[in-house]
Amino acid sequence: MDKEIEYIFEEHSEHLLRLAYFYTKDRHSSEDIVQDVFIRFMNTDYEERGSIRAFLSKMTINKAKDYLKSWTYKKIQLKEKWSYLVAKKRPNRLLVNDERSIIGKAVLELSLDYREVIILYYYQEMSVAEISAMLLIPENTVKTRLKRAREKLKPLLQEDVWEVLINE
Amino acid sequence: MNEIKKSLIELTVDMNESKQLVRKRIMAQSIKKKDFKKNLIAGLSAIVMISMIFLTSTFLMEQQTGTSEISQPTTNIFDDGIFETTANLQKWWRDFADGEAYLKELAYEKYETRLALYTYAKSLGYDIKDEEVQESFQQTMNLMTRSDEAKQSYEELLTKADLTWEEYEKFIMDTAPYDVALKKLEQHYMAIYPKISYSIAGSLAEKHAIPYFREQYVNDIIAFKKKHTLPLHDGNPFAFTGSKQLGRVVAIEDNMFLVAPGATIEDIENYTKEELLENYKDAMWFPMDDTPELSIGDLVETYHKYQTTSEDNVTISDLWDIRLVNEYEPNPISKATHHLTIDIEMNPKVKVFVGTLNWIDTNVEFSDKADYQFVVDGITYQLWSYPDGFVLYSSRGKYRTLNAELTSELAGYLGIDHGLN
Repeated sequence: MDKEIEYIFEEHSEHLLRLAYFYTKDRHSSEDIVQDVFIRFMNTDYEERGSIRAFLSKMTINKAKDYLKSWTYKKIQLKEKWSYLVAKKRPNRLLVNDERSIIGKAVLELSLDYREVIILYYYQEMSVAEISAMLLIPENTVKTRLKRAREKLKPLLQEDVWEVLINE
Repeated sequence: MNEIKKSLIELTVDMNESKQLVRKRIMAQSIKKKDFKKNLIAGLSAIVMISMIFLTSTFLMEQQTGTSEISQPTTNIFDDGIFETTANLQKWWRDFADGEAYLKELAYEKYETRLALYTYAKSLGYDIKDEEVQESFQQTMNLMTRSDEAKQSYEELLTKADLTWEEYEKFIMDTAPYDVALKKLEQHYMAIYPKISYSIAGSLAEKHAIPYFREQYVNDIIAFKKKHTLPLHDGNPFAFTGSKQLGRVVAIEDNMFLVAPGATIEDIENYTKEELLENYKDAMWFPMDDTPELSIGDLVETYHKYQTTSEDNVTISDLWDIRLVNEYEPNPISKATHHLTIDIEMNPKVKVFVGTLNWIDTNVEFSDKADYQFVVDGITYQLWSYPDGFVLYSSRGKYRTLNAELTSELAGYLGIDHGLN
């Protein structure tokens, strides 16, 4: 079991850290979330019914959404909004500055409802049916959000990048 | 991989720092939890004492009436005194590592390794004679007192460890049989692999002794760990499992094999062993210790912990694990690849599976035809089925070895036999 935990950590931690980051857009909260997910996982009598990745991803998403609803998050948001130091905020070293990441940056600019479906559909590679089951919303709502999210991405992207995206 | 996923991953390219931080914090958290448990146990000690008195008296009464049966036999292999002194000696590291519980675990690992070496040597038929124990004790004592400087550094160590010189001398005497056992096992592996060094022989001894001890003395281990409130897992779950290296087997001599990362089949065919060693400075010799059947040209992943490099730049290493990544097949046409069509329901699962694996970039070519092939999102995956798990190679030039768990998972999605031993 011990080797398995190490293996599971090696295998999935980076994916989960990214997933949490796409929700929270904050490196430190993502680290806290993934830490919590693994500690819970280690203390859970997990019986494999599906993919461990899917199980851990679901835990991460739930935890990330809890964080976004939390007082801590709201307090940080408020502080950043009013702080004169916003401009001097330390750079989030998790992000890279590269033109290849232009679509990713645009995705992170979206509001949570739209960002979430994009992340689950493209990053997590879930089907519309799977997203619907997970978010407890009708499949048509998932499709509408995906469509609108793509539309919202359009003005943020250059024409050639947009062309790539609509062909996905 | 779709463009959005690619872009999102590229956006957050360096996750290693976060990953290492989380790993460290999970470790610290589990230590904290153990400390809480310890306090709880301390708080309940009065109740436990009363219970112990009750249980002891019941046990003694049962012994007298002969009604007690020990369901799981234990031996007296563990010694509390030796463990406590080992734990005290770990205090030296207090400045570098946090958490008493962690130091206690470290002490247990050290003690368990020494016990494992001792019991494993005995199991191989080696006799630990009194005169050998006495000689080993004397050698250690001479080492400690060989100079004023040496004596002074030992005195500092003992002060930090809250031990007197007499207590430490007793500890050296009590543990001398373990040192004799290690020497015998080093000689044992040197006899099997004459080209390795004594240090590598010692490392191989540990590799074999620890699993033997954990299997043979499982009840003693559980009882001892419970008694000392040590975690019941086998060692640290985040322990170092060895450095990984990918390369081709370029030479086999006696019971040793040489692996050269980056070497190609053409190199093997055109260069001598000496030239290969000259061209590939990372090449390493490994003992054929619990290895699958190997041939020159095979592509392997090796895991090693200890290596020595001689003056003429020949590196010899221990071998803790090995995975055959691609068996060299000089006549690849003799094998047919089964082209798999993925069931429509399974397709999303296979997509997620391959999309989230940590693929390893490689520029090596796989020499034989794959057992299976399937396509996901325009990427072709070739799959080789070996007794220790699947190996995948994608048309994007990346590969992955799968452990038993992932092999079974993928076999289920693809509807094929996992072929595991």
